[in-house]
Amino acid sequence: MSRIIIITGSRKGIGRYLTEYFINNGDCVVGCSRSNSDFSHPNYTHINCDVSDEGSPKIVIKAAEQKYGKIDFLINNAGIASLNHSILTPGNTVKKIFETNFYGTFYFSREVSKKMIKNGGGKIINFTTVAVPLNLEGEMIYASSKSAIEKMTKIMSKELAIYNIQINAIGPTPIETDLIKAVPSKKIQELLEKQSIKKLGTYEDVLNVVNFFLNPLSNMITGQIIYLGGL
Amino acid sequence: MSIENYEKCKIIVMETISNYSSEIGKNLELVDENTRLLGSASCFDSSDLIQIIVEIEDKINLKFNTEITLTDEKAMSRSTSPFINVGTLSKFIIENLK
Repeated sequence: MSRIIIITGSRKGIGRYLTEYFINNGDCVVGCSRSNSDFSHPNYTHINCDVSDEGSPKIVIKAAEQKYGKIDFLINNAGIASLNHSILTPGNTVKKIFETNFYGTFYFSREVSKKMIKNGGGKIINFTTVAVPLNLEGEMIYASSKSAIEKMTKIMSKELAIYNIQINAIGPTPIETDLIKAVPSKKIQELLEKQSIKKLGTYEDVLNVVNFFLNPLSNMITGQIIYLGGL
Repeated sequence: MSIENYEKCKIIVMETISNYSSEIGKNLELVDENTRLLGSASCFDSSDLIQIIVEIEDKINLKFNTEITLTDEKAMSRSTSPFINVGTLSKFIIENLK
């Protein structure tokens, strides 16, 4: 039977790659983003919504349940970044980044978990970043929002373990996505120098970890953060 | 408060509690308005309560075609929890349905 997966931020980047992979794998995906997706497939449903809106998860969940009757996995991929010195960061930027990254991940995790509790379990994957352990200058807000996601991952994994829900997080290295295209190449190079494996990651690297977390053989793995690149 | 809706909510709450109790092997002799959900007089722990609330929220939304969340700020910021017993929870649901 097909696996039913909700992927936030599925329109482009890692979310889009994962969406196409799972669809090609025979799974069903309900994805969401703030604007329309040009990807279409009978097993793909796209919902236009903002993850930072507390009502959004219910719309996405309703679509998934009406079409498939259950949700197996949630991949909280949607995220935004802002690179700036702390002193030069407007309060509104802080608010927006936390609303999308932290609140968005929380809203979806909370609401999808309710359905997973009813269905007897499920798996949630959150996205963090290597910027958290590296304490990168200029990434205070972005890394802080992701650090909060790591704490959420660890605490929710304890709270929800009793319901057979596993929650883990992946922290990719920089990958060629829109998220880093505005970052100067010198800055990226400096970051890569701090990794054990000094190169950019790929979508396939992320997929490998995602598949590891979603594998039924990983049912004993929860509350874990896996960084790419060796940190 | 519509008495009719209150009764409908109460029935959903009681049925859910009764079914859940049976599922976990805690057959309650009587489930009524005073059946405790919280505190030492309750036969449920916090993980039981979460499952019960999730189930009730789902059934209420299905029954009344709504999208209410029972664990919203209104519920959590009260000095007296709405989850004390069947009666308080049913009243709280009615408030949310308005």
